Amino acid sequence: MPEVPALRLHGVRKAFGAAVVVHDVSLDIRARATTGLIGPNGAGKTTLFNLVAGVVAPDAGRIEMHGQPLLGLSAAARAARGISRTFQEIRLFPTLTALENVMVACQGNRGERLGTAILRWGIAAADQRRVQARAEELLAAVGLAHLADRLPTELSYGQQKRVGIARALATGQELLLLDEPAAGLDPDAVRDLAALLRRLAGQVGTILLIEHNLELVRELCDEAVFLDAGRVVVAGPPAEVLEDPRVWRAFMGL
Amino acid sequence: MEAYILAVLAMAGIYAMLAVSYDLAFGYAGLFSVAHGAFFGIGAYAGALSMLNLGLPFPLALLAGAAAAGLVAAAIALPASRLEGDYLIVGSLAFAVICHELMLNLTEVTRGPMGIPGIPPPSLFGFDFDTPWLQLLVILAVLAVIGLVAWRIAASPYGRVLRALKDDPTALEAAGKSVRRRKLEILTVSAAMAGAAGVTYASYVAFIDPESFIARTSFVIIVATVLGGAGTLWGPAIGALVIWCVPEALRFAGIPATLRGPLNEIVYAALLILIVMLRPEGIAGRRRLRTRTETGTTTTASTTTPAN
Amino acid sequence: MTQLTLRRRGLGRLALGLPAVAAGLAPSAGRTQARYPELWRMGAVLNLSGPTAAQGADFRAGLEFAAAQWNARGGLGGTRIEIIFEDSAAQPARAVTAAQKLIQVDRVNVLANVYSSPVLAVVPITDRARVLQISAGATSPRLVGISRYFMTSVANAALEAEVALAFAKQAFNARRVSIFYGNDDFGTGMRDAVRRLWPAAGGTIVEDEGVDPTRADLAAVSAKLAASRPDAIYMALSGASIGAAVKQLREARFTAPILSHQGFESRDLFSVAGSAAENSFWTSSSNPEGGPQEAAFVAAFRQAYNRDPAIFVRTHYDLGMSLFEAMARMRQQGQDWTAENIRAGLLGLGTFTGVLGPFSYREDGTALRELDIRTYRRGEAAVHLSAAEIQQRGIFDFGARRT
Repeated sequence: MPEVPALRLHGVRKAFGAAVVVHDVSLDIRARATTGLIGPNGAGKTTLFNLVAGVVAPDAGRIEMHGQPLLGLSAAARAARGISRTFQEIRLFPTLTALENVMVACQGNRGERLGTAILRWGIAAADQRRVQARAEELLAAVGLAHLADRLPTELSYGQQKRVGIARALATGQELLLLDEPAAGLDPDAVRDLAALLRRLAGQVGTILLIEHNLELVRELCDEAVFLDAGRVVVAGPPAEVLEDPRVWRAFMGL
Repeated sequence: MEAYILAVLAMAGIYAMLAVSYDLAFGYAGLFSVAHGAFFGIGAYAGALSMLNLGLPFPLALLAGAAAAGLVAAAIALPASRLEGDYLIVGSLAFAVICHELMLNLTEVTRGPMGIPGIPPPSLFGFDFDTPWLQLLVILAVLAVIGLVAWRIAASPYGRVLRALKDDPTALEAAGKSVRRRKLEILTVSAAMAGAAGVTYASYVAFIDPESFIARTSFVIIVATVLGGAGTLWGPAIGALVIWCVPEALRFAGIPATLRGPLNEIVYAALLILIVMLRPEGIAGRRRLRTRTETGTTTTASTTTPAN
Repeated sequence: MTQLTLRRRGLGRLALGLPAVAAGLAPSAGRTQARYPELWRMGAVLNLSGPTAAQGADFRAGLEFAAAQWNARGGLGGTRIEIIFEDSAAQPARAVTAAQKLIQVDRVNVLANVYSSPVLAVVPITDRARVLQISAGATSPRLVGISRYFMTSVANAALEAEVALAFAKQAFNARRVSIFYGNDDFGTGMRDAVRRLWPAAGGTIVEDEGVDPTRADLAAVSAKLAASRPDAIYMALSGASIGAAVKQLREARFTAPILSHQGFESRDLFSVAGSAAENSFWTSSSNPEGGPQEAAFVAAFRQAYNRDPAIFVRTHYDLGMSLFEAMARMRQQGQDWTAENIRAGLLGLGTFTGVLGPFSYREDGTALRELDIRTYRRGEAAVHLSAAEIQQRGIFDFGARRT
């Protein structure tokens, strides 16, 4: 029996006005693996993320997670099913501390229900303790336990990115969408990030990441997908994909 | 003298209810609505009519006013919860205008521009709270309940979600929290509190008419909230006290009558300008943090996080 | 028009009436100020700030100037007048605290206030404190008879309906009247006034229909009103829709008289309705020629303020002058200046001739001012019956009526 893919896109198409950004993309993302999505700027990678996360709706096609259709579910509902993401521009909540940024993303916090918050103080307090412990654990997992009470503006760029990852892990771990996690980081920070992602790969469900750092993709990913002008050009093991002349041409400007 | 001071405190108390409830939607969730005065009015009418026509005792009228304002807010917020930023301002303004028109024109219910006189003072088990002290007591009791509920919402994980909603709705949605649901809920709760304030006002002044719930009313609430410090709850309550007490104190400053009107306007404006320039986070807001980021640019962040 | 400050008849009544009134009221009198103090203070809650602050400044100037003139003459029989002005920004809630301050802190027992909303919000407070609230800026028909402690010196809009209906009864023996009103403050207030007054005068209301006063499409309502076949239609519309309403009524074959108020007479009406406006009769303030009293007032005001007194200065000047006149006379009569007595004193003034013409205070808290009946004929508006003729024919008594 063939393995059910973690994520299946079938004939997905998205245009913004006259500009078709994603052309009939059909793609299977292998479960419990790390897949790197590569391609030049404007290839449609982030749009693909947004389609999966439910921020934008496709014009045509189907998207399934573990065989279950996702279309029609809001971004929040998809997140509740375990699809979580980071943003290229990080987008931490600026008035919340690092810990609060992670806590707010934890699921199943009954203190976030209006009635419970107002009337059932005991339950709210118990969940608050549980969620706080969970968030501290996740911050520790990304190596930031000591900066829990800092505001995002008090953190370095790399640290902010890690908080973003912890927040995504708190949201859900079924399918982790990472949008350019290494962008803007210095080589040391990239090395730390690679170590973190390798560790996570063993723990979370499926990772799909957009990355321009091809070395990182080669090192981390089980699969690579090369996207150009909204179409899947080539997909397969990173070693093969990265040797493909079409990929070369796109990245070297040849 | 005493009754006068009590009257000023009573009005400040009622406006504190409005500012605190407005703060939940505006200061916490970042929803800039200009319809809070309209919900105040809906509550006032619902409460006054339920006391006069149905003979409801004050506590039930209070609930009726809160329910009426809350239900209308929910019905409006259902489509409006998709609105953001400028569109919410325009949408809420349109709603406030329509509300005022309805108060004027649904004459069979509201008596239109004639207003509703003779609204009874608060009473409980046949005991009338009809002296200045007792009326203030009732107002403070209602304010305490509203404040307690608002504090629970703000200090709970729910409040954290609201602050995240204000910061970045897209990121909140990505974190698995329905933005629409939160907007709907908090607009409803905030409006219901304004409705309760309306019932208290109607019962205190004993007369309401559409002119009591105009755009300027919403504006005063917004000023009190910003002045006191949006996102702090007790700040807006202080803001309400300030915008009632400063003009009243000016009455005793021995200013010639010819200057009094213009001076009121100037003091009001100056207060607001000073706050915006010197303490944009408001009287009660926490001081700004100045921090250097990795890129070397100085950014400022205003923190208004209450202690959890 | 006589330029005497009071008419003989008024004085006579005052002399007869006051002791009786005072005897009835004195035991239950509310706050009594020290018998004829050196300084007597009254309060004024005005819109000194806010969008209508310019009007508020006129209101203040009128009251202030009246007090200054009395003080220059030695005050109220030796008592100097001081008016304490407080700002309401025309908001009911602010008016409430302003009134509380004046009553509680300054311990005034007469309080001037303007605009219907602030007046109504303050009524419960003045009623409770037994303080007399007076106004020269609240004309809404909704203010008729709202409180024993409220009196206004300007004509109430309801008076116009009263005079027009009395005219219709006598001139065309009208019995059945329908009402065409606008759904606004003025329109609904006038509708209620007609509903109250006409049956009391023995007539019947056949039909009443309200319209949005900003809309010109009034055909359906006009047809319905015409079909009710009344002897006259009272039109309580204001604004631009009057012309259209008249035209539509006539097109619906309504030929009987149309009755209306001052707002009826406008260029728009005659250009839109044209000859359809014939057989219409409306009330309008009769404008007595400015006599020596008015000329003296204008000259004195100009000297003091370096500008001409606007209409709102005049309304408030008349309010102040009538109040002080009544109080000075009370002093001559040995009456204490309690709120109740001052009310009786104002009623006892009879016809007071102010710079805006003669008027008298009425028991229902409104004021009686002279009105003409005007009509449209040969392409222009003209006086049909002057106030004096109305009086002579017994249609309506503008004299010092005690109703």
